[in-house]
Amino acid sequence: MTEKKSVLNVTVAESVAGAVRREAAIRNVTISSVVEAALAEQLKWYQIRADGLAAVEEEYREAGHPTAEAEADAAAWVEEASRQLSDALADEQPRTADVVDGAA
Amino acid sequence: MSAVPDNVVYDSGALISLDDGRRRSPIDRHRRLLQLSHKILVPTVVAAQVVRRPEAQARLMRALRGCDLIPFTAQHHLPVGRLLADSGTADVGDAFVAVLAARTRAMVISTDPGDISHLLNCLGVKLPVLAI
Repeated sequence: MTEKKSVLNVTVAESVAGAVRREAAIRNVTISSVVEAALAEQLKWYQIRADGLAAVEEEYREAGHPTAEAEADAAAWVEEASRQLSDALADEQPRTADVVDGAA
Repeated sequence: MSAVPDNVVYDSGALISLDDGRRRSPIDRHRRLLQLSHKILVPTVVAAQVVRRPEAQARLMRALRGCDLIPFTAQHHLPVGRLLADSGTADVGDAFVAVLAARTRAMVISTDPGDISHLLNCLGVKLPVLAI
């Protein structure tokens, strides 16, 4: 059975509104369905992130928390990883669009 | 720090490292990725390669709680099969990691960066593959 819908009044940047309208037109669906899918995806990630961080905290309570040095090393490693990804995406070749088309 | 959360794909080696209690840095890096709201993806076939006795793999099971498990579906067998043929390799898990990374424009965390890089090259995609 289809779940009953509720109305949300939201304010978004004009660029986001335009992107939502374009996506809805491309997919031939309603704007509401695009927004609902995006919200559901984001809420899923909020839950995964919270659960993942809670799980790490459980591990630390058993095995010990990292030192400040270890935390700094981890932060530097992630920062470098993000920089490499950012550089790679900036250099993307047109062929990538063919490969990445479609959802995971 | 990037303004937009990055996508990250773990391969089987990354999961094995997270399960290894002798090494602390993988779990610290995993936490940092989550703190920055990066999205960690794990193909279910890759998780299956590593999970053996979940009751005895608490570290791994905890790490997986911070990951989105991506199922192998009917839309994956063709690109994964083609990639295996093009690359001359046979590891479905690694090939799915590469296809998933390409589709989500993700970095890959691996213990065998060479293997995944070869697969990404075969896809014509340049994405970072980092050793955890």
